[in-house]
Amino acid sequence: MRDRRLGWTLVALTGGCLCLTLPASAAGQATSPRGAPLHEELPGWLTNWSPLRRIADLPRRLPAGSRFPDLLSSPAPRVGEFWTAGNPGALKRELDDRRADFRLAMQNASGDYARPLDPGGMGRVAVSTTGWTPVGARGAAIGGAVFDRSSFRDSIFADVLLPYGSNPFIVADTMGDPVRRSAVRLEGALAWEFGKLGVGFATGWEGQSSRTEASPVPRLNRTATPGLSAGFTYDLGPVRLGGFGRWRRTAEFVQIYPVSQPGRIFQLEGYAEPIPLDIGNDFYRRRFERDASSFGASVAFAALRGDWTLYGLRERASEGQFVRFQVSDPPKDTWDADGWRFGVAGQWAFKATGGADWLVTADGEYRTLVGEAFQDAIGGVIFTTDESQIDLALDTRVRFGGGWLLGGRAELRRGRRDRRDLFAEATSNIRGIDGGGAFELGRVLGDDVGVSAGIQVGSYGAAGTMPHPDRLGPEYRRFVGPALALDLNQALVSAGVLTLRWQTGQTTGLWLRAAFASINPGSGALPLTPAGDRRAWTVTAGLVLDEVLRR
Amino acid sequence: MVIEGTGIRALTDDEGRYRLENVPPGPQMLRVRRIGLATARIRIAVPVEGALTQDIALSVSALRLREITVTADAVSRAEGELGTASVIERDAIEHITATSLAGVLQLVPGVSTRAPGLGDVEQIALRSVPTGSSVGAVPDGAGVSRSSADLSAFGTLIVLDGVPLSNNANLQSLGPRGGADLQFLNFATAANGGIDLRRIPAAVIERVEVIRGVPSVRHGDLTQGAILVETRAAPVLPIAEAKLDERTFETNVVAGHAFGGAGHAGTMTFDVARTRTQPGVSDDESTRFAGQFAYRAEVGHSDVAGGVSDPKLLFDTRVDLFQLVDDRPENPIVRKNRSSRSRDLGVRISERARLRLGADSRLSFTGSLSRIDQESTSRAPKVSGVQPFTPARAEGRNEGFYIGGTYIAEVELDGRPWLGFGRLEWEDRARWFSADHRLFAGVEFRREWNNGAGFQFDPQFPPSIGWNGVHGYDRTRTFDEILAVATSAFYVGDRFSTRLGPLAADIQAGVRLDLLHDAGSWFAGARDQVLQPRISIETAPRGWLRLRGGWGRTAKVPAIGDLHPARQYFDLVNVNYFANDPVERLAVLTTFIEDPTNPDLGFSVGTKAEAGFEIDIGDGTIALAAFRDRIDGAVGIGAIPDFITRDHFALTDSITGNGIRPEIILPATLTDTVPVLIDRPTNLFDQVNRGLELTAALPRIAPLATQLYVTGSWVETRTSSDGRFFGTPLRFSNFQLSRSQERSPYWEGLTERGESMLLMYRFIHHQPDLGLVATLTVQHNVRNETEDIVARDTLAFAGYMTRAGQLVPVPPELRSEAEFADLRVARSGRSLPLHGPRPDWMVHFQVSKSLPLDGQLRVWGFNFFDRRGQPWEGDRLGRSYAPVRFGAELTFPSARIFGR
Repeated sequence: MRDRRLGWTLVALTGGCLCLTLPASAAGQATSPRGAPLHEELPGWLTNWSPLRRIADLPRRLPAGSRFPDLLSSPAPRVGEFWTAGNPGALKRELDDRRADFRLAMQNASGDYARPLDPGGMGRVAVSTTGWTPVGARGAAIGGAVFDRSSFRDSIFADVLLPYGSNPFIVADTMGDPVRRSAVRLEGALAWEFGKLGVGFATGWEGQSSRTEASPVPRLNRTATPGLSAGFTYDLGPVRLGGFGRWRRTAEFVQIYPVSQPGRIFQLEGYAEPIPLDIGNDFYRRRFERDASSFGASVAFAALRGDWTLYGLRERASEGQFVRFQVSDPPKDTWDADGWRFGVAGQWAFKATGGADWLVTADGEYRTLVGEAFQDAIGGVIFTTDESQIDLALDTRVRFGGGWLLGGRAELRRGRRDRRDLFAEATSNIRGIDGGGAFELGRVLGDDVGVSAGIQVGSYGAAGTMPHPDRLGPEYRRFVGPALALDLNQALVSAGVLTLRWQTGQTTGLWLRAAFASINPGSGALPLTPAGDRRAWTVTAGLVLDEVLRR
Repeated sequence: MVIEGTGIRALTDDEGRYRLENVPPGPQMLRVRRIGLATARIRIAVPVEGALTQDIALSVSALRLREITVTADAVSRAEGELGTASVIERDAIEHITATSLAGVLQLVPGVSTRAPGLGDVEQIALRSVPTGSSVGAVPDGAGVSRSSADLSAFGTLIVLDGVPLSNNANLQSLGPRGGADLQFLNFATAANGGIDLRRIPAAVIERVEVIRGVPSVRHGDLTQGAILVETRAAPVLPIAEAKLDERTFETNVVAGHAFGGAGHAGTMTFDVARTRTQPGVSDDESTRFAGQFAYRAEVGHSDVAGGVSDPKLLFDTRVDLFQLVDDRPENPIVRKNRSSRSRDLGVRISERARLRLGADSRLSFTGSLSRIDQESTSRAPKVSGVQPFTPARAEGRNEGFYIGGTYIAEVELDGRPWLGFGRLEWEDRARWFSADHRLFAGVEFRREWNNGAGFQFDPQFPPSIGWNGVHGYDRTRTFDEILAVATSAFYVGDRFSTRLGPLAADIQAGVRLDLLHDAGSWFAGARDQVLQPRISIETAPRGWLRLRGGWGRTAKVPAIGDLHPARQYFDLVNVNYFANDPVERLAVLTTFIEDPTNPDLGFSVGTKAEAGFEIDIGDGTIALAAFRDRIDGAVGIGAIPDFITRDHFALTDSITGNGIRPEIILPATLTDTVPVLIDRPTNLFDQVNRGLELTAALPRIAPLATQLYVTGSWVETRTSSDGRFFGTPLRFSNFQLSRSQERSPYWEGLTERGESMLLMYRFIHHQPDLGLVATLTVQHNVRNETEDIVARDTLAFAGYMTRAGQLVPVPPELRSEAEFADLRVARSGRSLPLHGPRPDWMVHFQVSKSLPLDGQLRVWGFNFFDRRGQPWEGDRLGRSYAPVRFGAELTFPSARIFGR
């Protein structure tokens, strides 16, 4: 066992208000080098309502620091049962304007700071659109779509799309061929209000498909994820109460063709040494079916001169793994998890002395998860996990006279992961803190041009234990150990962003945004820790409709 | 303003008011067009007496119209037709994920949904179920595949812009004897089936009418039904479209312009599509280019009732061009020395001209000339034991040579099918006996031929060699030696509407005579003719109820390849003296040539019958049709028994190693017979299709802004063969080669049965205010069964074949006698028991959203739960759904750019 001391460093901010901004795209890239869809680049409050949001899963991410405020390319944050808790029944109550935007983003990331199942490098072209509008006198709608085409290179060993979730059952190989992936995500919500009652539903679908390129052992992988949520709100005096539920189902399919040379597969099942599976004359097929649901309550009210929202959710998820092609086979291995999600958000808008407009938004969320993996071959539970995570964010933006804009954002994320492999008799206990601050300064020149620039710094630190590399086997040291070692090591995040906006009409704007981000490991790396850093850049062009550029 | 299916039309005045008179009572479809605005189609119920007022709103985007119809219209009739039809308009085409006409037809009852893309050959078989395997109901011993689906697709007429397409002269097939030896050589081909629908891009289609019932006598050369396709030809501002998914990229442009006055307009359409069929695994791809130039000219205008301009003379000229390529290149790692490529490059010039003769008479001419350059190549390694071979092309005994080992075989098929088509039709409106009549009579001439370079290969490396020549070797063949096929047709019909008290009735009746001429000339005699009476009746006893029925005969001409099959070569081995020293080897073979031409081959004759009703429920409609379609004498390959003689010779010296080649000593020491089967095209299949079709548009659920459309079909297909079956090729080859086996059993009768029940639920959520249409399609496979109905016991044989090629029947009561013990063997070959996977379902969605600048975005997901299908017992023969696919389509209308 190795112990690490907590190594988180508070970010020093130069401004009074915390406004950070990890360039949305670059940050997203740095967070998920395997290629997170573009929707993860959007501010969290814009995606909380998504019926495709992950449930009962706490994926392990690379350090990200904080997002940028995105003063010119994203709307100001909103708080409410719909925007914060994701209750679709509150959409009509919290939406009375109209907006649409379209984005085209190009991204590139490379570097050695990656886990074994992450790609070394990637490139992406993505298009997204998001819009909302009132519908008649009593209705409102919101929707969005993302199209994403990514190329991964340099040792992408994971045969599943998201290898670093809470679930320990992962398929990997050693082929390392370049992979191309296409993804589409489509979601929308409709809501109506009838007096004190508000009802709404949201539905969405996400599909991903990836394949190796020019490989003697081609690998095909695809997922299909439909999601649905429904909810209601009811006004009780000054308080609005709500209830809502969400369901999503993912079917993931992996197929590997040993067409001109044999392949070797590893079915990772925790910390135990995986047994290699050689595929010579037959396909390797694996199908995963994941069902997840949550239900909970939300409440919104005004207090302390601000708007508040609180919510709580119970979440459950289960996954079955199937070794045969048809759907009627019983699952071979299963994963079950459940947990809680509690959150709070508040927002204050006020005019300070001197006439500056302030908007301050704070939010926090606490999530827990307990899960266990059942292996059919053994007939028992082989792996358990007990995890929790706290996310805190403070977003402040100020509009001064003369067209000056100032934004700051600070984020703090603390994770606890206690994982135990009953079969290998090995455990890991990791406490990590990921945080950062972003600062963005902008100015509107004349009536139709805006420019902004920002920087962000952040740090990751962790303490805990992991299974000793010498005690376990070589495949553990290849696939599992480095990821745990990375989770236990310090890292520094830095980023910069430059945005230019041109208002072509009263409510129509074009913007261009370039961002750069990097992650550097801290000193004193553990054995197995990947060496080197990681850099990502993003260029995004956008068209926004029904939004004025305010000085 | 047009009442669909009638000639009733009008123009609006400056204030947008209109008036349509003499509209038949009952449910009708009102279509409204205006350049620059989306077409509106409004379902109306016309009262028997009085007037109906209907207000109409138009929009630049169909998505913002409340009356948008995004599925096949259940009650709309094809233009001038009364048979049950599905009409698919441009709005609906834009709301399905289709790359070609094949994808558009998924809105027809009984047709499964499919992911877009070019993929493989796409054909359509109306009102039919594929039965059994692709081997189909073909006599054993004849190695050609011709399935029931092929028969049905071959009998489905496709009419593009008023002119029939034809696959009759498509000879891109390796022939009846290609199956066994050439199975390793293959390429994409639509020969012996229906038109490859991939050639028609969905993006350029304006309207599709699928006449599933009895078509009018205007339509010939069909047994199943007719699909009438009209492409986009109007003075529209340029519209560009791009579609992208993981496998397919497609882009197209449509633009039209009016010039020289209102009576002249030109339209150009271009479409380019590419599909990678197995991305990540192979470089296989299919590509398509399609373009059309349309020119419409009106000469001599005059106004008639309703303010509609009716020209004296109307010309509609089209020039179509397409290229379809299926390329499966060699992959040095995965598929060494194995590749195939097929390319169809076609051009067609067509003209539709109409001359107005007085107020109620029209004379119209339709003519076209089309040519397709077809190139198919296939290359693969062939492994064969060393054996005697001769490429002789004349009958007689020849010295051959030895081939064998491993070599690269390559075949090339170059076809060039032509179709010349002309039709002259006279139409007149009159009112007799209190009924409005629309009389029409026409004459039709058609000539098809193929003058391609034909079936070619290197004789030194033949692709087709078998054991001892008893099954024959194919030779190269040029197609220009094949006679053309000429047909002519005459038809007369009447469509009249009458009222019998409160009852309104439409009747369409007529008779058609099709003639198949000898020697490829219309001036030669007719080798076959079919008289085809047809009648369809529709009546509306109530404003909300419509009854429909029809009966008629149809006919389909055989394909050129069946009328003029290739000669069959048998190369019997007389001497097979193989020594290590090539100098000492001697191979002597006798070549026999059999002509499998069947002078009695004629039309396949169809008999169609249907009855049904339609009920209006609020703004919804339910339609149900029952049908029974029969094909008599569909063409297949019959195995005709015969024999040839084989001489055996002594050799002068058969001592090996002396460096001397032996010679044969004449005369022959022995002559025996070898029984053979001649693969002769014959009208040997009978097919019966019966079933029910449901189309229902349920009333709109206003609070949810959602409407449910249901289409369903239950179809049973039975395909029976009159042919005889001689066992597996191996069993029959043993009989041919074994002089001691005096006879071999044969069997008669085979019926393949298939049954399908398919329901489609389409939920259409429409928010006109948002310009949003979301479509959720559930495909529910309730039943899929197939079986071979055949006796399989050892007493099932019908008789035996002697070595002299004679058939000797054995009565059933004698088959158990001891003298027939050698014949009592189980029937081998096809014996597919009843099987069918469990009911299953899968779901697709499409979301269409209007965009700023009048653009449109469509996102789709096919099989979005990624369901794989349920297995049948023991995982055998299960249903396998195509995996999840998704993509997006973007339309860029240029109205804003061009100033509208």
